[in-house]
Amino acid sequence: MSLDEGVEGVPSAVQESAEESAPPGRRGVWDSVRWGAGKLQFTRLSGLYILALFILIFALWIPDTFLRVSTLKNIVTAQSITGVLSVGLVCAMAAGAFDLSFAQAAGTGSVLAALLTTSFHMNVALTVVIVIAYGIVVGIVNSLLVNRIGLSSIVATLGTSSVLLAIDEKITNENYIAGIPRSFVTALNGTWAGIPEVVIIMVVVVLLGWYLLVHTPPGRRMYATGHAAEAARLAGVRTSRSILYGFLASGLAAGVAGLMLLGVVGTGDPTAGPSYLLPVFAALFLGTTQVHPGRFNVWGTVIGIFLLGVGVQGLQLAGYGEQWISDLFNGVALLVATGFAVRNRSLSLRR
Amino acid sequence: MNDVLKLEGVTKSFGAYKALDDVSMDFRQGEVHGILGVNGSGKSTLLKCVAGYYVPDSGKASVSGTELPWGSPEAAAKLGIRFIHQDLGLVGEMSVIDNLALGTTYEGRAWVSDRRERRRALELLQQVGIHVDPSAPVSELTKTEQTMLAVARALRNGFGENDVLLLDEPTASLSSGEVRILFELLRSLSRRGVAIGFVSHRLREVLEICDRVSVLRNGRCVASRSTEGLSEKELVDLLVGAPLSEVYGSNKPPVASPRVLLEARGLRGGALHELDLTLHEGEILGIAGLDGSGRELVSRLLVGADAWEGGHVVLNGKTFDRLTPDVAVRNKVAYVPADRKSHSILPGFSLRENLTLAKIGTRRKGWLSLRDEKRDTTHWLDRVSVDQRNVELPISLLSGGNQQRVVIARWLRFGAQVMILDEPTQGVDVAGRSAIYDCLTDASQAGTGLIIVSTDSEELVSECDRVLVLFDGRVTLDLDRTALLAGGSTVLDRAILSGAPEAEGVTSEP
Repeated sequence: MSLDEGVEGVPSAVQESAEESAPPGRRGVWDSVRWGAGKLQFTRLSGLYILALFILIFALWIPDTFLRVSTLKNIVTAQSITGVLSVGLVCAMAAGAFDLSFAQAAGTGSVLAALLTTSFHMNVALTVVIVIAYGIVVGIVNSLLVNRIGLSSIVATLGTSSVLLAIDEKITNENYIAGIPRSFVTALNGTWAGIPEVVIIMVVVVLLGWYLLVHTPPGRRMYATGHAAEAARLAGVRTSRSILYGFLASGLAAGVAGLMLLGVVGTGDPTAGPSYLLPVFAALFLGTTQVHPGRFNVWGTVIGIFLLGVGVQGLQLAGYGEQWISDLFNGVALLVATGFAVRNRSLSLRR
Repeated sequence: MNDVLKLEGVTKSFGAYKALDDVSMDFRQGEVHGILGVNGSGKSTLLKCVAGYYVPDSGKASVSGTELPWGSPEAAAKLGIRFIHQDLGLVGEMSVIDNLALGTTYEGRAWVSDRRERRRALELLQQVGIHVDPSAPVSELTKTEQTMLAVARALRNGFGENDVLLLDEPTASLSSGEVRILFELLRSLSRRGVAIGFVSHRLREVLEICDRVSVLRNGRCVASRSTEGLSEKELVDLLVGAPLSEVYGSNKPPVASPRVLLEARGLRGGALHELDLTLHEGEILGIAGLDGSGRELVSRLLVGADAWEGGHVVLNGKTFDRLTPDVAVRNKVAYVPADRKSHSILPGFSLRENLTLAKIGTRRKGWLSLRDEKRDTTHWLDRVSVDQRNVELPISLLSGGNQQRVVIARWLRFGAQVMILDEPTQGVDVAGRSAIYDCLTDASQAGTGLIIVSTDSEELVSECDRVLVLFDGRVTLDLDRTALLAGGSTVLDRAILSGAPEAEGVTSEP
């Protein structure tokens, strides 16, 4: 029985100081100082320190293979698809839209692109336009299910995810689609001034995501919606629009990532999508401990991605290349990082 | 008749405030005992002490001669005290049967038998005398049926001659007709020997059903007597006390601006049957009423937070048959909800983000400049005199009064023409209150129209140009500044309790 919703006959000042769970009403300078110090440095960017530590360890452990430009290139390239998907997911999660469909959406997008370039002989530009439009449609469908029908975002995107998987399987007959035109692969997997194109795409997407979320009013409203939907609604925020924007961003990112995937792999792989689900979520939650603790944020997620990327790649180079080691590393890193953050109460992932 | 529950000298303080001051009363077998008092008089505190949720500072209680240990709901229950909390504690999605079984039959049984529970539930319902569909989900029952179900559940372990049934405001959300049905049930239970005590606001019905009433005022029991020969007027006198002579508030010049900012006509929704009001430029309009009078719904309906069942609102010369908060905001109507924690602030967000939420954006187009935003925030924090330099501090670290001022600053910065505030000073200390009032007065002098919904009569009297009193979902009285100054909160309290104008010099609206 809850008896704490206000005591009749007690003046409010007394009630406030009687509240135990919340910190006391008049907080002093000390709390501000401690909070400010926490925000400023070590905890906020601890991921960068750990990243530096990882690099140091691998540099000492396997200097010959690790300390090479090609290794750096490999890591960055390997993480670029994860990066694009993460930015999309950050936008969705910021608006409180829990999107489980982005990974399969990327997978289906890539086999769709494969189908268009092979069976329909479409040129690169048209394929790109159609696959990006497909991503937008996925986002709109997800947001309609949540906003119009009123489904919870987890259920809605679980459903669309399965439908997308079905489309994927129907397109490919569960086989690889080979024979992707050379023009397509070079257009998406080339280099530009020595920098792999996928890396450039990732950088652009990261900058766009950061701009949207931090430097535009809709971005702020998305965060408000994800943080306290009812309070935001009563303050005049159109919360369904925020959710639409979130799903649109993650759908778009899935479309772009699908194209990148096809370019990098070179064949339409019917099973490629879902393998991104866990790493992206891991990077995202790692990101909530960084830069802007407690919030899904783009730069924190980027740190998360490279932390995991360097760790996994380093272990592979050191001879621990089995898949289970990578997965174990991702899982443990996520648990340790968020565990610390939750203990420090800078994060509310505790349930 | 013998005393079942006897309270002697119960005193309970919260900090420096005495919620209960030497309260003595007794509850007798077979009697219905009403506990009355205006908001904040200590009624609920008293019941919660008896039920074991609060520990009094001093005083004694005994049940049929056995002393009741304080602070133990289990011990109180063992001695036969059955307490029904205001929110009834029912699970809406579960059926009547499941609700009746909740918390009892699962113990020590490896197998939960639906049939056994159904049988027990039917027996209990019959015994208590309630006719409801036992397999219907509780949310589909009427409010009265839910209350009666809570009564049945409180008595599920049988009820005997030494049992005391205590209800905390069971009538708050019921209409007069529904209240009578509930009271019939209580009557029949009392005839079977149960002592019943309940907190209520309904003077007329209480006089009808209760054998005895106790009246609390400012934590003291000012009367505990039989209802025989007691008139409603005498009861109101007891509740409100002697007329207060103080004059509240500043000498505000009367506002005579003709421009109408907001008009509601025949607005309906939930317990609010009909709301008509007109808000002028620079006016501070108060809304008063008991719980259940529709008062709680006024602000939510006016901003479209809840759907209307009828009526319309005129804003900026445009007529709206339906409204959502974002449309209201775009028409410069701001809402400051009562529930600060979950409806008003964004708890983990900084002061800056909370303050700029309604109008995000700075001078530069296409780029939200944090530096501009910080400067703007500092400026507005100064305006509402929140003394906090660190605009990046999460708002939840501020005191309630400061949080409220940040929310008010949010709407001042936005340029709201109409501000609707629900319980603006709930949970705010004295200093914080006057700072909030200062902000509101400033806003009204700048032409903003304010609607203050409040249960604090003194606040309404001292701050408002006009107060509307709601009773049973309708506006029954319109007190202007003159009437408020002449009568003080006493007149207002009277009107709130009985819904009818009594004092002279009061203008009533049909």
